[in-house]
Parts: sequence; structure tokens; C-alpha cells
Amino acid sequence: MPNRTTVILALVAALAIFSLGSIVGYGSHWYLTRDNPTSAEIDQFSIYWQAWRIIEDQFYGTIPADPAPAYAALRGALASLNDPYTLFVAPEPRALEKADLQGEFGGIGAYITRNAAGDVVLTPLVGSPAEQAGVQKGDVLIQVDQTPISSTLQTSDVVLLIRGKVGSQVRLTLRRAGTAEPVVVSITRQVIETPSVEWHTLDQAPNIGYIRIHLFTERTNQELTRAIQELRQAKATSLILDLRDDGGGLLDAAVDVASQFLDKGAVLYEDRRNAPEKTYPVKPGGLAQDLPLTVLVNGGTASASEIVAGALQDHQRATLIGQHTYGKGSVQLVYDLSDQSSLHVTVARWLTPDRRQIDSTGLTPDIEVAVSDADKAAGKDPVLERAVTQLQGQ
Amino acid sequence: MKRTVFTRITFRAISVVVLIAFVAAGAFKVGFWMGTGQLAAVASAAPSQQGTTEANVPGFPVFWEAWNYVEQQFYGQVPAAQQRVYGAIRGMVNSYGDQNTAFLDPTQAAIFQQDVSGSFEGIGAVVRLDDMNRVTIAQAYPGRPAAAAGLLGGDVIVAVNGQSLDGMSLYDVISLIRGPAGTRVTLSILRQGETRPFDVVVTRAHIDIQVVTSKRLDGDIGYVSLSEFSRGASQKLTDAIRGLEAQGPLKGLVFDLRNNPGGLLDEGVSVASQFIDQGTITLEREKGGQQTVFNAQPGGVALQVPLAVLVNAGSASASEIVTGAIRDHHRGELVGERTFGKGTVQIPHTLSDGSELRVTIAEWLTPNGDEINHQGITPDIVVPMTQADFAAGKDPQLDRAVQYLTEGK
Repeated sequence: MPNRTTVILALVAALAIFSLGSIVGYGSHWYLTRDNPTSAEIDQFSIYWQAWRIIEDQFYGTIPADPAPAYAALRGALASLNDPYTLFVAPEPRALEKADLQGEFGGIGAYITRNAAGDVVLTPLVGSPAEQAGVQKGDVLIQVDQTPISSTLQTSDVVLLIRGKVGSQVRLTLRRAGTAEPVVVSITRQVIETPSVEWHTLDQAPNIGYIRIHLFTERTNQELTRAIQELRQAKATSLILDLRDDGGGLLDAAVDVASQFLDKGAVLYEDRRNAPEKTYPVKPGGLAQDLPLTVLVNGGTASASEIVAGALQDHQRATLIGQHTYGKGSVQLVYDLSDQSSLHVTVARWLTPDRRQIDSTGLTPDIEVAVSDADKAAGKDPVLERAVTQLQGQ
Repeated sequence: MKRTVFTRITFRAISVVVLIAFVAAGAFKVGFWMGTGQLAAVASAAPSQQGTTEANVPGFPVFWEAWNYVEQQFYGQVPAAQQRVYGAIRGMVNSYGDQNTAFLDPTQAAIFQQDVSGSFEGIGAVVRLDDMNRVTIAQAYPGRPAAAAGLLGGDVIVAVNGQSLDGMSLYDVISLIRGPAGTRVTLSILRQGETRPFDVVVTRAHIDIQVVTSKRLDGDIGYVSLSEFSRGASQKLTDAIRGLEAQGPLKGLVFDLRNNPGGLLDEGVSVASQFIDQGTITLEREKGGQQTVFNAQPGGVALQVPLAVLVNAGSASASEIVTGAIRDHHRGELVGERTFGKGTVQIPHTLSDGSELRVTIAEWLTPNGDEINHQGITPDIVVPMTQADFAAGKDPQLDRAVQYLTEGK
């Protein structure tokens, strides 16, 4: 029979172990239920279900089919973050129709950008179905077939509306500066290969190579490599890199592009929540490290383009000419959700090599050159002309 | 000897260790259950709070999945849970495509309680959605801040204090425009004839809507206007008509409902009852098919006098109930322009935190069974009124109504 001391000791030990158990239990509960709402959150959310139930019972009208209300609720909740780049993308309806698809998907051959007012602006590619049907650079898209395009409609959804089966027709309603009535064009979709880089030597200065990047895709660096090689072969001794109206794209592509012109140091730093600062160094082997360089920028130069322009400016590798850039210094990650929808979340801010934070402020060009409406009407490009002068003076 | 002692100690040691181990394991397990909350669950046998509702709604698990990524990764301020819930409800409600079904947070709910009383703090204009779903000024009350700042009926509001109105309900927009007397609000306006939007700064004031006006016109024609069907509107109208008759019998009465956006249903029925002595004023039809009939109430003060009703695109809801009843009972002539076309009824529900959900619960029909939602009511005598007429101080619609009453056609 154990004595009293032993019993007491045993009880104390049991209590200690019990406490240890609770702590471990509580901890693992927290860890395991991180993905589930807490009771407090559920209580706060109860008014959502009150509202939902009232509508289910009483609403005189058609309630959209599930999961539309849940998606709309999620979009509404995300709107409270006040970040236009954190957004929800519903599962692509066409992805669900894979089994029925015959033939390829095509498009109209136009770049889509958004201006500060949230309008969708089209730039037709040379020779594209869009251009042939009469779409002009700068046209604002206000309707696709029967669907009006609002500033809250996401670009991915706009693309889905425009693209479709090769050979099928799509009607675009456009707003054009200087034309009172909307312009309607009907376009037959085709397979479009969209290069992201174009290049040539300049007629007015054949020893200057002109490179324009439209978007930073997986193919951009490969296309740029070819551009630099061909321009060197054509005896170019300096380069103009045009990033005007380039809305951005892949961060890695931006690092590769910047690395073509730099020999060492950082291209950018990334500041993430809950993680140490990450450096993206210049990759070795750049093919144009020695050529004098100017970079053309304007209010449509955004995101990945600003990474490149900012790196070249901070390394004093290139003169930036044109107008103030857009100011998108945030980085988004795309998470796939369990029903094939996806969530874009702003997870980081990037900084230039001098650790400048350009979100909403943008980059200031070294030489400011404006383009007036008269210049545009006359087909003149004073920014390009200034860049030529700059390079010829060196 | 040694061996025996060793055996005894070992056995005892082993049994003690085993006993301790069992107790320890038991204690740990119980503690673990406490920590994970399973003990409580086991004890009460209550179903999970997260419950069947969410699990059964398609798309909802994705809501929490998505929100967790935001909570863990978002580079920026994550607002309080309440903002998220309000955002979620607004998103859900606005997706139903019914402008009149809306969620009001407690602050907004307080603003709209004022409407029913007929006095509030704002710019003194009626706003509505036009047929392109743009927020438009239906009327800037003469002498009030909006009119004084130069705002005109027909002006489209594209931004308030620099904020775009995309994705907002009409209630959200009005909440932005309203505010304490003395404060300022900037409206970005698109006006027909101007190529670009321009800003108008308005200083808010305390606005008391004059619900009823009345006057006597030449030829013993009476004129009464009603600007909204707020509480007490019918009584005010009755008093005004009696006041006119006290000055001498009327040969005709013009009842002006132009730009009256509506209000309380029972005030509408009561107003219609001033002109119609019996029969149906309106029929309300709910989801599920139940119908409620609203009949004329006895004691109307203008049952016989020849009547002309003035209406325009700003006449909505309760105004259309009255107009529809007068038309179908052949009680008077309608003059002016086609009405707005709001044929639905909303009830406000207060949620447990003071927010309000206004839900469209029924459609109403005219006595003849016409549905006027989105259609409006077209007057017998159509008379347009332009901005130029208004600026010149002319009222061709009123002139025509008076002509009808004096000439009988």
C-alpha cells in the first residue's frame, strides 16, 4: 500500500501531466483549426446567415443559382481590403466544358490594358483581326456582345468574353475619343500568336536599336535575347528600350530582362509579411551590358516594367525618358481553391535596388517629355525623338 | 537472497511505473481533450456550430479557404471582422440584381430612418437610377443647397468626394451624399451637352421637405402637390384640400405627383382613398402567390371634384399606386410623362447587430391587375417638359392639366 507522501506525489504528477496535456491539446487545436473559423468569427458571421435566410424565405425575385451568391459574398468581403489587386476569380466556365470542345480557341489580336479610370483599353496588333475590323489604338471597350464592361469586371473575365472558338464572331462596342456615338465592330476570331517583344533599327538613326516590350511573359526573355543578337548583327551601337503602356507580367521575366543590361547587384528586393526580405540578384550572362541605353516610360508603365526601369535607373545604367510611371509596387500570388476558382492575394511589396518603394508614387523619369494631343494627331513621338537625341549626344 | 530483493523491487518498480504511466496517459488524454474542446462537445453532445448551414451551401467552404489565405498572407491592413461580414452581405445582396433589396449597416440604417420622418441633413435633391443604371438627380429642390450650387435634374453623378460609385447600391450612394449640416460634399457630374465631367461642391444643410403645397389658380381650380409619402402625408394632403375648399368651391383639382419617389404603402392607400370612395386601390402579390387586397378607406375629401394628376419619370412606387388606382377607376385624367416603373414592395428587417436588410417581398398590381414594374404608367395626355421650359419658369404640364379641367379635354 503506498504511503500518503507517495499518493500526494502521484496526484501532483498527474495534475502536472494533465496540464501538459491541455497545453498540447490547446496548441494542436489552434494549429488544426487555423483553417476553420473560430467561434468568435462564427458569431460575427451569424448576421450573414440571418440575411441569407430572410432572402431565401421572402425575396420576390429570382435568386441566382449557387454558387453565385457565395462568390459574390467573397468578392464583397475582399472589397473591404481596399486593394484592387486582391481578387477572386471564379472557375473558368469554359474549363468545365473541356469534354465538348472541338477546334481551338482564338482571339482578336489586341492587347488589353486598363487606364486609371478602370476602363478597358484596346491596342490592336498590326495585321490582326481586330485591326482589320477597325479597332483603333486607344479604343475603350464598353460591351462584348450583350455584356457591358464595367470598371469592376476583372481583366481575366474580359479576356474570357472576347476569346472563343476559331471562326466564330464577336461583337465589340467601343468608345472612341472624338466620336460621339459608340463604334460597333464585328470580329471573326482567329488563332493569335502574341509575341511580347518587337524590335528594329530606327530609320532616322540606323545605329540605334529599338526594342519594345508589350508584356512580361514566359517567352519575353527568349524573344529579347533574339532581339539583342539581331540588332547587334545589324550594327546597332546603342539601344532604346520602350516600356510605355507595358502593364507588367511575370516577376521572373522582369529579373531576366533587367539582367540582360546589368552585370551585378540586385534587381529588386521583396518585402513579405512574416518572412525576411528576399533579394533577387542580377543573373550573369547579360547580352547587352555594354550598350548605351535609354528606357521610355509613361503612365501605363507598370509593375514588372517598373521593376526593370527602376533597376536600370538605380544602377545608373540607363536614362529614363518620358512620363511618370503607374506606381504598382505590389506582388500577387495566385492560390488555387478547392473548386477550381482562384484567389489573387497581394503578398509582398517590392523595392528597387536603392530600396525605393514605388507603390502609388511610380518612378520619375530622368528626362520628362510630354506628348500632346496635337503630337498624337500628327503621328509624332517626341519621347522617342528625345531618346534618339540623348543617345546620339553620347 | 539478493535475487529475491531484486525481483521484489523490480516487480514493484515495474508496477509503479506502469501505474504512473496509465495515470499519466489518462491525465494527458483528458487534458488534451480539454484543450481541443472535445470534452465540452462530448459532454453536451451539441452539434458543431459551424454546422450544416455552411456545409450545404455550394461555394461557401471556398469563402473560408480564401479568407484564410488573406489572413495569413495579405500584405496590408486586414480590417476588422465586422467589415468583412458587411462586405460579404453587400456582395451577396447586390448580386441579386434588385436595386431595392439592399443591406444597410447600422450607420446607414440610421440615415434612412430619417427618410420616413421627412426631414434629414443633406443637399436637398432626389436621386434615382436612370434606365442605364446611373445615379441621376431627379430633382434639385428649389432654394436648397443642391439647386443653389447649380445642380439640375438629369445630371448624372459619377463620383462622390472622388470615390467612384461602381458596385454601390443606391443606398450606399445616398449615404455618401448625406451628412451633417455645414459639411461639404463634392459631386462629379456628367451633364448632357458637356464633354467632360465637372465637380460641384455642395454645403449640406438641414432639409425639411415641404411635403404638401397648395394654391388656388384662376377659374377656381385648386392645386396640391405631394413630394413624398412619408408618415402623415395623407393627413397633410387632406388638410390642404380642405383649406382650399374653405376659400370657396373648386371647379377642378390638379394633384401634382411629379418627382415623388414614393414612401409608405399605407400612406399611399390613404391618399388614393381621398379621391376614390370604394373598391380596390392595389393588390399585393408575394412570393408563393399569396395576395393581399387593399381597398379604399371611407371618408375621402375629394371624391367628386374633377381631377387631373400630374406625373413624370420621377413619380415612383406609392405615387404609381395612387396613379394606377385613379386611372383604373376612371377617377381622373393623367397628364405629363410616363412614370418610373417601381411596382415592388420592400420590408426592412433589423438584424441582430442593428443593421438592416431591405428585401423586396412582393409585387403590387393596379386594380385592373396590371403589373407596372419596369413599365410605368403612361398618362392619357402626354406633355414633355424640357430643361429650357424649367429655366424659363414655364410649366407646360401644369398648363395642360388646367386646360383639361377648364375645357373638359
